Amino acid sequence: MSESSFMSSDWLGAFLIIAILFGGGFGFGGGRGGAVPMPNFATVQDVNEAVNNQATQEGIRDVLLSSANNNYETARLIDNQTMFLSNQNNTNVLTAVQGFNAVNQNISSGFADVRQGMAALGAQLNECLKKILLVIRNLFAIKAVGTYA
Amino acid sequence: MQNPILQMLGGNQTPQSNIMMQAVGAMMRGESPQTFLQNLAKTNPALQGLDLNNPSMAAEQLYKDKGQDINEAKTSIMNKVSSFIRK
Repeated sequence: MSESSFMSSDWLGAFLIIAILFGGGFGFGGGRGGAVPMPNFATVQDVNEAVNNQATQEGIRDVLLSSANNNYETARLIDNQTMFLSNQNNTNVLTAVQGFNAVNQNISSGFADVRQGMAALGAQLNECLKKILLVIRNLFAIKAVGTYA
Repeated sequence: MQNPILQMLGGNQTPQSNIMMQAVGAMMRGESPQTFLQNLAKTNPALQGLDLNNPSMAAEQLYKDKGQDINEAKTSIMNKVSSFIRK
C-alpha cells in the first residue's frame, strides 16, 4: 500500500496499533456478515465505524454553529454600538441646536429691547422737538407783540 | 484522559474511540506518532512491550501475531482518516 501524503507510515502504524489493541472496545461485538468474533480484535468494520464517528461530525457541526452564532453576536454588538453612537450623535446635534436656539432667542430679545429703547427715544425726541417748536413760536409771538407795541 | 478538542466537540465517544480521535487530533497538530504512543502507553499496559519508536514495524508484528489482515486495515484507515480530514 502506498503511503499517503497526509499520513506518514508511522502514523498509519499508530492507527493500526490503536485499532487492533482497542478496537474491541469500540462497541462492536463482531460476528457480522458471518465473521467469527475475536475478543479485543478490531475488525475492518470496527475501524470504519470508529473513525466515521457520528458524534465527532455532530461536534464539528456544533463548533461551526457556535462560530456562526459568535459571528452573529459580534455583528449584533457592532450594530448596537453603531446605533448607540448614532443616537449619541443625534443627541449632541440636538443639544447644539437647542443651544443655538437659546442664543438666538437671547439675541432676538436683545434686539426687541433695542427697538423698544429706540422707540422710547424717538418719542422723547418728538416731545423735545414739540417743545422747541413751541418755544420758537412763543419767541415770534413776543417779537410780534413788541413790534405792534 | 479527555482530549480538549473532543471536549470542545462535545462528542459522546467511548474511551476507545476517544483514543482514535485523539490520534487524529495529534496527527493534525503535527505531533509525532512515537510521542503519542509513548504517552498513551503510560496509562495503557497493552502498549507496553511494543517498539513504539517504530510504530509501522510494531503494527506489522502485532497484526501478524494476531492473524489479522493488515493491508485491509491500512486501506480502511487511510480512506476513513482522509475522508475525516476533508470534512
